[in-house]
Amino acid sequence: MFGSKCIRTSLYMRSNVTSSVLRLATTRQISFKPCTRLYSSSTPPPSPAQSKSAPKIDLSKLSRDDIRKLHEFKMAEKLKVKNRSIALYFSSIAIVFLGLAYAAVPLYRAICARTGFGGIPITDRRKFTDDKLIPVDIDKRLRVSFTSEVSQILPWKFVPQQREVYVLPGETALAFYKAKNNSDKDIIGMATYSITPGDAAQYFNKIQCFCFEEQKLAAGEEVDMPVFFFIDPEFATDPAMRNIDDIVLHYTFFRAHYGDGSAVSEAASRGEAISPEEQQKMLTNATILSPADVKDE
Amino acid sequence: MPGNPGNSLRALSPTPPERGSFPLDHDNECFEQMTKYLKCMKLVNNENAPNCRLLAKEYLRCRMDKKLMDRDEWSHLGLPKDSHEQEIANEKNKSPTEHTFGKN
Repeated sequence: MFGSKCIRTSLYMRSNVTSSVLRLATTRQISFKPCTRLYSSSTPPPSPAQSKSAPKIDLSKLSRDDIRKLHEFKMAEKLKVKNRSIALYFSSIAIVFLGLAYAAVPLYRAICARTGFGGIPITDRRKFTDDKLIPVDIDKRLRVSFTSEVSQILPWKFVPQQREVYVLPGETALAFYKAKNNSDKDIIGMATYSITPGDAAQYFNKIQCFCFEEQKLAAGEEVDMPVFFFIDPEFATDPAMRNIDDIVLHYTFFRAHYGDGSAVSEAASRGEAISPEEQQKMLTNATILSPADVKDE
Repeated sequence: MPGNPGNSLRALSPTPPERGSFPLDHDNECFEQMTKYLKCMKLVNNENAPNCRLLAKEYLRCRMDKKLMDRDEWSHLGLPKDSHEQEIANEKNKSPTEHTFGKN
């Protein structure tokens, strides 16, 4: 008559609750079966009020004590489920953050390389794809002029071999500079470059050049240094660049010097390999001299 | 995106050269190719004419041969292909068109 109802057995069930449930089962002709289906939040447990409408347990016949125990039992069940779901949420959040921490290192590196954030040079290979190397047909060629400068303490003669080159955007061009070491010692120099006007610098792509690396010239040596570059084809379609048809590429040579007073380590001047410790020491000490730093040479 | 206005901040982050630095030609191994190229440029008034670009190609080829530059295809350097490479490319391009003729 009262049908059957499933009941979830729990480790936290106290013995008197179990006994009262059993008493209910025997005296009130209700059979309790263990629940095999997992509890789901979409079907809330039948509250005492609800079970009145679908009468399985006749509450008027239950003692107050039994009602209280049943209520406590239901509350304990709800709390257990809530605790479990909270624990699962937090553990999943922890796992997500752990995964993010592991992924952060390559992700950070990739973002920095792409955007150049924090001074890391952009190694975006898409600037140098083959389709960028197709010349764009414009009316007037762009004039790229070459200028040079040498630091006062660097006894080199450094001049461009051609005054200018007329190029189209997307067309690769080769230019030469000549450097001569007029002193009687081996000297290491390092070149930096600048582009004028500054807005055009973003379109000036160098495929290969001689800048930012130490260049060693023996005493009295003269050498030719090439620059292979092109202007990005998007230069032709940028409205901000429409008035620019003259670009100046300016190279400056500085003297590279190591902090311990020597221009080059003894091992390197003998042509031997430099040990990693010595390399590290040299790198930490390497500075580019300004005229004020050098006392006399 | 062509002509992206408002990307002036791009100028602030310099890009390094793609292949880094040329090794110095201390022994002047490619001196002749270089002088030929410079003479050509003087004749053309520095206009970067196609024949001068062929001489530039010869200079870079000399550098590659003397191990002063990494080997690479001419298309990656924006220079015209060699004649025998062009023939091979033409042969490859021909065969698909012959198939379509066969269908008709």
